[in-house]
Amino acid sequence: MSHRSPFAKARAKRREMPMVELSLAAMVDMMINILIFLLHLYGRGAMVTQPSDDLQLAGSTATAPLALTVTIVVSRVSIAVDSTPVLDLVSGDGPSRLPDGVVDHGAIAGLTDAIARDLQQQRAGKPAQDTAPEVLVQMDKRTPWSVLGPVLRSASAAGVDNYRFIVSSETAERDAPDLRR
Amino acid sequence: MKARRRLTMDSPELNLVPLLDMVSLLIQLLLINAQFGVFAEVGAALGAPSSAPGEGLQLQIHVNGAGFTASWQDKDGRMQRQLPCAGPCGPVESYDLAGLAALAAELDQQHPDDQVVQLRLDAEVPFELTARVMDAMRGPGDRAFPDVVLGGP
Repeated sequence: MSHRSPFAKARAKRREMPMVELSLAAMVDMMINILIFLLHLYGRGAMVTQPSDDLQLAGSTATAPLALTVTIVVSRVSIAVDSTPVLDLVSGDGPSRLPDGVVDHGAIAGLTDAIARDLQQQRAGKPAQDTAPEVLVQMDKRTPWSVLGPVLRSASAAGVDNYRFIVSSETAERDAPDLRR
Repeated sequence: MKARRRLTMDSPELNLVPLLDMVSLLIQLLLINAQFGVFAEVGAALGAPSSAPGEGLQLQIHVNGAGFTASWQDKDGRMQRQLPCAGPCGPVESYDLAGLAALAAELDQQHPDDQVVQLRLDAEVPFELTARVMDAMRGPGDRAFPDVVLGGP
């Protein structure tokens, strides 16, 4: 009588079973599709500064895509030119306002200099262009005209008379699938 | 003999596990940081308010704490229309933006060649309202008054 292990039968059966291989091709396809979708989404509205509580963009039906140029960011607390802070605003419970004495002839002197400097840096080493310079203004929706006006006049004093405001496109959002639900 | 050796060789298998790990991590990172807002831009120019007579429609919208006042040049002279808020003016929704859009459509039908509108904004007018007024004046398909000139009162 042979002495067999009680698990020998089960072990033999397991050995006979074919090894099941997981097919990863479909999963890889799906993941790559998701990755392409996300990268496309990121590429559509590239912004240097992400909106925060102090920088809520106004909603609009505009759909024109963004183009990078000199960017003025006006949040509830400060004004910055291409990520360099230029001026702190007075902000309380109400709308933000400019500190006393910074506006001279309708413009903010420090801001005019910063925009002019930035434009000069962007033009350096590039061939002269026929197109008029433009600035991209990223502005908190609660900012009143008493702040916006001097900011635009400062840009005008620096030689820029065309402005493009970044807004939260409601038309594009409405047409896009809502992934938050 | 050679052929038999070739047959017994294992076919090389691509190890997809590290690739999958990396792609999963990338997807997680992008999903965590995703803000599904879509941004666009809207153009404007800066100009001083002008009441000097000129050619064309010379459409002006005065935005203040009482609502909108639209004025434009017609063959009978300077026309004016008040679009007050339904109740006390406060949030953007309290302003008669639908009435303003209807006026823009009406004027665009009468003067299809005119595309400029001057906004005269009071000091306290928030940018959100300015953007909404610009939307109303541009109209569907940016056909009505897409060239916006911003200015103070």
